[in-house]
Amino acid sequence: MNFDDILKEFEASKRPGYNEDERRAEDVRLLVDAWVKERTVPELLPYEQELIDRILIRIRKQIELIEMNSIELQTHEREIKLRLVVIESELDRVQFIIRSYTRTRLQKIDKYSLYIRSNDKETAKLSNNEFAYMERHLELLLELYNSQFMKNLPESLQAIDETGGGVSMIDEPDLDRPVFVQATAENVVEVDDEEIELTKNGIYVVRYRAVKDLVETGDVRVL
Amino acid sequence: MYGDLAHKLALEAKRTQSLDKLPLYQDTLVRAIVREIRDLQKEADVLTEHASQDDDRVNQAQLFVCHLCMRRNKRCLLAYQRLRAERLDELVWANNEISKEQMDNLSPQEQEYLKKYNDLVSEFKGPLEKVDLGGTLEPPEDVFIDVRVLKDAGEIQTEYGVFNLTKDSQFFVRQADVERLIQQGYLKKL
Amino acid sequence: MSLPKSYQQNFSPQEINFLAEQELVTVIPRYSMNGAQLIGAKMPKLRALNREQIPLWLATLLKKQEKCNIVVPEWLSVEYLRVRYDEEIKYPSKFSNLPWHWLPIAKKLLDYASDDFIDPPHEIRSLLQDLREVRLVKARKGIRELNHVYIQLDGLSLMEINEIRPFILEVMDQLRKMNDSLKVKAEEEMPRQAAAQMDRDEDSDDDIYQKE
Repeated sequence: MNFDDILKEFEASKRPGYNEDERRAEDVRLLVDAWVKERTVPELLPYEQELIDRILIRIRKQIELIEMNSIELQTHEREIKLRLVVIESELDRVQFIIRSYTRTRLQKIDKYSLYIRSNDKETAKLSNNEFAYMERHLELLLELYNSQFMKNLPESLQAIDETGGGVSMIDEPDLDRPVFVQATAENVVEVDDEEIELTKNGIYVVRYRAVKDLVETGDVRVL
Repeated sequence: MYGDLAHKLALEAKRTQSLDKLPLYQDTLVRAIVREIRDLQKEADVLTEHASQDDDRVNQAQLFVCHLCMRRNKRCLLAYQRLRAERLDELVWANNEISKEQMDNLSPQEQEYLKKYNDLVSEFKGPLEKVDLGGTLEPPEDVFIDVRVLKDAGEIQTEYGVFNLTKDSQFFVRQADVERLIQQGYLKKL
Repeated sequence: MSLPKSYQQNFSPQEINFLAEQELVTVIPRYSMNGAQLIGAKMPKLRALNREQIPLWLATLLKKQEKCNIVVPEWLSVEYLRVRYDEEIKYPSKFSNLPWHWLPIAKKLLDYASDDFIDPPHEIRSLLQDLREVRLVKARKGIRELNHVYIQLDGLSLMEINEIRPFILEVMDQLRKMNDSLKVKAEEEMPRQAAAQMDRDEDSDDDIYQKE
């Protein structure tokens, strides 16, 4: 966490009505949402840098808490033990979400790396760590292809990102893939020149492209 | 017939998809396909040289077929290699030890890739070490469980203290700490 | 791949279960306990016999340790479930109103807190099973109405949605591809039709000229 963030949090805590506990609860809710979205949506979504950073700090604190208290276990057995069990169980849950979130993203990054690299908007969705991973992974793959056969092919055939000739070699996410959503507000979306009215709380299966913007604004919740 | 070899490779790739372990790398087949591509390129060069000034349809058609075959061969090679590379990636993420048999089925270049990808993943995991990215993708359930000791198992040391595992005693412990003992039959999960 | 194929387009039942465990339930502590600082909302300080709302995962943890009793939610009663079941039968094209996570919550409470139920657990289980079946049949029937544009599935719970998700996605995708190929065909037809229309227009123009 850099100084700006610390300052922001300090200022936020001075605001009337600010409740640290509520903020923490909200953060976990946001994390769960981010995870569900990333799993459901066909394209890569922007990395939740600030949210994850905040939660990683708290994870570290909990781990320290567990380590500190384990030492006292011998003397104050019962009560501390139960608290540690609770703390550790919750820790496990949060670690799981971040783990699954991260690996879901990696899978999409691996699948669409050529596409992501070719597009600034897409590249902006990656964390620094993810970007470094993507570049290096591509490097390793190219090394593999080259050493196995590519370098022995005629020069004109040595590209791996050809788009001509019918089937493009660059995999792009299929934005027309249907997703399950629940409308949180009334809206109208267009699919194939047809207009569909979304009623509040209605559950729909519709192609992602039609609701992409609404997912971003939160007018629609992916399931 | 041009393209037959590539077809064979494609079938091999398809077969690999349904196998648990990677089969032997098809080195001979791959080399043969590369040779075929080079032969086709030579043919294409000859055709281009002999192209007459006017609209030589036959020449163009032959050239077109050459290019199609070359491209198709290349795509098959890439598809085959990419499929295998993805399986290697899976092996790294699975975190299990790779058997000698499996290693023997990989080409030297694949073995090299495996090692380097493993390093890359370790590096990626670094900043998120507290989250244990290589851990299970199944949600946590019952982090702590009640166990009964079936046979004397001595002492175990955990973060929560030392447990003396004498027969018939019961404990509330972290499942991860005692998983192995349960598998080995010393403890029973209640 | 860093994510196994089976997770790539759907959630596992365990993951849906995990989401359900975030829901709040009411517990009645049997002893007083200090709270705990957590990553999310803290575990509140618990006082014996004072009701508190905590997430389901925590409630079952404490229940297993015999530190609390769980207040079974109103909808997990024979009366409520029976009414819902009757509704399912009465309205064949609608799903009755059940909580978003009714299946995993019911299962968890029956497994770990059956003694906290007022109604006999076996009756509840039986009703839940009936509800599950009738809704499953309805969902499958509804799949016949699938079209490539959109489907509406109001009233289904998350677990039920997750179960039919792979099938629906597959079918919708196929329908979409079929429809797209029809569109291409129509577009190919268009120039021909446009030309035919032009011919007809030309003819009528001739008439006008002739009238003059």
